[in-house]
Amino acid sequence: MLADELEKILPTERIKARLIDRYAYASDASHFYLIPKLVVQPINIDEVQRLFQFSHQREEKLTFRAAGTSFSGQGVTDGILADLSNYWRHVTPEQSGKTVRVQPGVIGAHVNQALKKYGRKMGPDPASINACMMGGILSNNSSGMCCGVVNNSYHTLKHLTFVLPNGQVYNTEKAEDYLRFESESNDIFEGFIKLNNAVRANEELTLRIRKKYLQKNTVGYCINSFLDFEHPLDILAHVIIGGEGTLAFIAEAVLNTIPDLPYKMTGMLYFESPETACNAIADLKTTGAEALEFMDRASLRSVEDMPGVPSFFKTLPVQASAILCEFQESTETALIEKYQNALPVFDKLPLIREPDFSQDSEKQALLWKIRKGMYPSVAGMRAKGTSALLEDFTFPVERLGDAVVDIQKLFEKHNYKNGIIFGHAKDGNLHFAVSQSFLTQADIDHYEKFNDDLFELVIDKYDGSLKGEHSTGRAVSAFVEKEWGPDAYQIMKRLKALIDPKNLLNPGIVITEDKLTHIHHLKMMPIVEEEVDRCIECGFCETHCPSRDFTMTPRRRIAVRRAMKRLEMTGDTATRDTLIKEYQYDGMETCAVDGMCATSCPVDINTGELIKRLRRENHSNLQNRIALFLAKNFPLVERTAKISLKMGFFSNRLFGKNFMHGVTWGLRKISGTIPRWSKHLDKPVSARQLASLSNGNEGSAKVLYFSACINRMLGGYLCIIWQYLQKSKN
Amino acid sequence: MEDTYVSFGNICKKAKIELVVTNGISTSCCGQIFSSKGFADAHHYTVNQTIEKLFRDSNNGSIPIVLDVTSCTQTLLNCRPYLSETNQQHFDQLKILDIIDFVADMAIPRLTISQPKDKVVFHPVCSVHKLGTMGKLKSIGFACAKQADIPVFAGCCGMAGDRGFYYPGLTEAATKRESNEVNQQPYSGYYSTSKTCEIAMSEASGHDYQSILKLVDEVSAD
Ligand SMILES: Cc1cc2nc3c(=O)[nH]c(=O)nc-3n(C[C@H](O)[C@H](O)[C@H](O)COP(=O)(O)OP(=O)(O)OC[C@H]3O[C@@H](n4cnc5c(N)ncnc54)[C@H](O)[C@@H]3O)c2cc1C
Repeated sequence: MLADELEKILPTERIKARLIDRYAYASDASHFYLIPKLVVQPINIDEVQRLFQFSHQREEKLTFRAAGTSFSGQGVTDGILADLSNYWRHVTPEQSGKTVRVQPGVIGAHVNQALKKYGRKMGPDPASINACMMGGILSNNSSGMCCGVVNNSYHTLKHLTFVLPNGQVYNTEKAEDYLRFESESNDIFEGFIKLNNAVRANEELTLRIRKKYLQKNTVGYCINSFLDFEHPLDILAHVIIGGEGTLAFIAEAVLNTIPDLPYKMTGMLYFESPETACNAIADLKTTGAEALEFMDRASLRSVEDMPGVPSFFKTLPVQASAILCEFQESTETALIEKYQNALPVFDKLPLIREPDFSQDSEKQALLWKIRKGMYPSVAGMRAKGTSALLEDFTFPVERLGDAVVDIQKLFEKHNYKNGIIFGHAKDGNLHFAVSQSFLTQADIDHYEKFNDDLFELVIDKYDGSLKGEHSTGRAVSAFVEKEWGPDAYQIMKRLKALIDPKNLLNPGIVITEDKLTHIHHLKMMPIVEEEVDRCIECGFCETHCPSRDFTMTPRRRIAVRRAMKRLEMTGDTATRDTLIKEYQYDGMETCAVDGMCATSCPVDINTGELIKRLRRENHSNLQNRIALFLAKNFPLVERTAKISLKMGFFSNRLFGKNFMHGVTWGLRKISGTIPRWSKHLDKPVSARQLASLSNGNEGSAKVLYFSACINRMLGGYLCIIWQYLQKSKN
Repeated sequence: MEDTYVSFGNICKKAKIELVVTNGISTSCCGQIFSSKGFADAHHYTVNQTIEKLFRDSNNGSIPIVLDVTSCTQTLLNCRPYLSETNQQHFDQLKILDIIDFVADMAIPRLTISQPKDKVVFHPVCSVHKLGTMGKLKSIGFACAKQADIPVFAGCCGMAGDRGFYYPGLTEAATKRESNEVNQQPYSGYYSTSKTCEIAMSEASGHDYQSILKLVDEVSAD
C-alpha cells in the first residue's frame, strides 16, 4: 500500500489516506474533478525532498496545493496531493516593510495585514486574497484590479527558495547557490543557457514575448524571464513564478512591496453601450486611475436588487455599460489634484449620467460591493446541478468593445442565458460568468462547441490571451501552442522536460499531449440539497472554520456530500457507505455549527445549518423524546447539574485545582461522553444569589437581567444532558 | 474571582440602572444546547417557554432584557421561526439587548471611567460578527483601556457552546493561531463575551479570559 510506504518518510498523522480524505480533496474551485490517491501534509523542506524522491522511485505523480481556489484545474490530481494549507504560515516583513518574506501556506490577506503598519502591501491583488495562499499566488502569478502587468509576483519577486524535482534546494539570496546550481544541477544549468540563447537569437519570438506581456497573460510559462534575466538560476526562479506547481516546490519567497495608498476617490461612469465604454478606456488610462472596472448590462442587472444599489440601475438603456473608476494617492492633496485633472477627460466622454465620485468610504464600499457581487450573484442564482464557470480573457485594450459584443453574440448563438461580462478593462482583461452543466454527454458537447468558438475568437480574431489571471491549468493546456505559436511552445516544452524529465510533478498542466484536457475530468454537480447545490467550492469559507486544522472544512463537508450522491448515482453504494461512516466524525461531530463560514461565503451558505439539519435527521425518535423530556424538566436538570458541579469543586478543594480537570480528561478518553472538566469553571450561581441583585435604583433606566444558563451552572448541566443523549443512542 | 453576575450588579448600581431579576428567567435557556445538536422538539419547546417568561417578566416587553452571553443573545434573536403565533407576536415586542449593546449604549454613558487599563485584548465571539457589534465592542475597548487589541487571527474558538468539552482537539486546533498571536505580548486583561469561549481561550493561551463586564466594573468609579 502506498500509505504504508509513505510512513517511512512522513508521520502517520500527516498521511491522509482514508476514502473521506481522498474525496474531500478531489474538488477545488475549478470545474475539474480528480480523486487523489492520498493526501500528505509535508511541513518542511526535508520532507518535501523525501516526497520528490518517493515520487521518482515509485513513479508516482505529485501535486502541491495551497488554498485550492484555482479556477483552471491546476490544483487537482489523481496522484499524490501535498496539502500545504495547514502549515507553512510564516510571514515576516523586512526592511521596514519594503520587502516581505512569505511561506506558501500563508493567506494573501494576512501578508497585507502584517504590512499594514508600514503603510505597504504586496503587489499581487487577486479578488480571492482573503482565501488564497502565497503558494498559489506565486505559482499562478495571480493579479487583480489594480496590480496590472507591473506589480504581479513575477515583477515583485526579490528572492525565491525552491526545491527541484531532483531534490536540490536553491535560494537566490545566497551567492553560493548560484555556483552550486551550476555544479550540482549542471544539466539544467546548461540546458537553460541553450534555451536562453535560442530565445534571444529568435527575433520574432522575442517580439512575441514582449507583446504578450504588455497585457495580462498567465497562459504557459513566464518565458519573458529569458529576456529579463541573465543567470540561469534567476531565470529559473522567475519561470517557477506562474509555473503552476509543475516545475518546483516553492518553500519561501521574498517579495518587494508597494505603498498602500490610503486616499481614494471612487466613482462610476455610465455609457450607452459596451463599445462606447470600452472606447473610453484609453483616455481614462491617461488619468492615472488605479482601477477601471468594466461591467456590461447583464452584470449591472445581476446586482440591481442588492441592498443599497441605486434604483436607476433598473432603467438604464438596454445596452448600457459602466466603468468603476478609482484614483488612489498617498496624500489628499495629490488625490484631489489627480481627480481634478481627470475631470476634463470625463467631459469629453459620451457619458449618459453625471459622474458621481466620492471619498466617502461607505459609498466606495457600495461601489466595490456592486462590482464584486456580480460573479457571486450569478453563481448563487444558477440552476441546480450546474457549475458557475468564470472565463478570463485578455484582448488588446483598443479592441475591447468589439470583443464584448462578439462574446455577447456567442452567448446568443450557443444559447447561454444570463451570461455576464465584466473585468479589469484597464488591462484588457475581461471575465465572464455563465452556468454550465456537465451531467450528460450532450451538456459536455454543447460546452465544447461554445468553448471552441470562444477560443477561436480570442486567439484568431484578437490574438488575445485565454487566461489573463487564472493560469493555464487543465482548462487551456491544450491551447498553449495555438495561443503562443510553435516556437514559444517548444521552449516551454523543453523547459519542463529539463526540470522534470519524468513528468511527475503536476503533469498535464501547462504542457500536455492530451488535446482534450479541457473536457476531461469535468466535475459533475449532482443535485443533493439546498446548501450543497448552491456551493461553488471556492474555498473562501475554509480559513474561518474552527475545524480546518482538525478534521474538515465547510467546503470539504459539502464536497463529500456531493461525492456520496455521485457514488449513489453510479451504484457504488459500498464506497458511499464507507464515506457515510467516516463522515460521522469528520463531517458531523466535529463541526462547531458556528456558522462563521457563512460570513465569507460569496453565495451565503451556512454549512453549520446544513450539519444541524443532518444531525436532526440522524436522531431517533427516542433520542428526540429524551431531549424534550430534559427540556421540559430544565429546572430539575439545572439543580442536578449544580449539585454535580459543587461536588466537583469539593473534590478540587481536597485534591487541588487541577484534580477534576485530570480526572474528567481521563474519563472522557475512556467513555467519550464526560465533558472535560475545565479548571476555568466558576461555581454555580443560585437563583437566590441572582435575585439578590435586584436593586431599587430609581434611575433613568431599567433592565431585566437574563443570566444565561451557561453562566449560571456551566459544565454540569451540559455534562448531564450530553450523557443522557449519548446513552439513549445505544 | 468574582462571578459575572456580581460585576453586572455592580455596574448597574454604579450606573444607577434599575435592575430586575426574576426567578422564572433565572431558570430559562435560549435553547442553543438543543438546537446545535439537532434536537428540534426540545429546542422549540425551550424557546417558546423562554419567550413566554420573558414577555411576562419584562412587563409585556416594556423593560429591556439584557443577556450576559453574546452567543445566547444571537440564538434568542433568531428564534422567531420556531415560535407559536402568539409567542411570535410577543417576541416582536421584546427589546433583547446583548451584553455588548448594554455596556456600550447604556452603561458606559452613565459611568465614570476612572482607571482605564493599559492594554487589553478581546476575543470577539462568532456572534459578534453575526450581530454586527464589532464596532461597539471596539468602542468599549476605547472607553476602558488605552489600547484594546483584536487579534488578526481572532476566529471561532470551536467551543460551539459545549462541543469543545467532548472534542477538546477541535478547540485546541481552533484556538491555536489566535492564542499564539495573543501570547506575543503581555496584556493587562483578556476579555470576551461568552463563558465557554472564555474557557476555550483561557485553556489555549494560559491567561484568564473574563467577561467584559468584569473589565467595565474594574475601570469604573463608584
Ligand atoms: C471567487 C474567486 C475569485 C478569484 N479571483 C481571482 C483574481 O482576481 N485574480 C486571480 O489571479 N485569481 C483569482 N482567483 C483564482 C485563484 O484564487 C488564484 O489564482 C490564487 O492565487 C490561487 O491560490 P491558491 O492558494 O488557491 O492556490 P492553489 O489553487 O492551491 O494552487 C495553485 C497552483 O499553485 C501550485 N502551488 C501551490 N503551492 C505551491 C508551492 N508551494 N510550490 C509549488 N507549487 C505550488 C499548485 O500546484 C497549483 O498548480 C479567484 C478564485 C475564486 C474562487
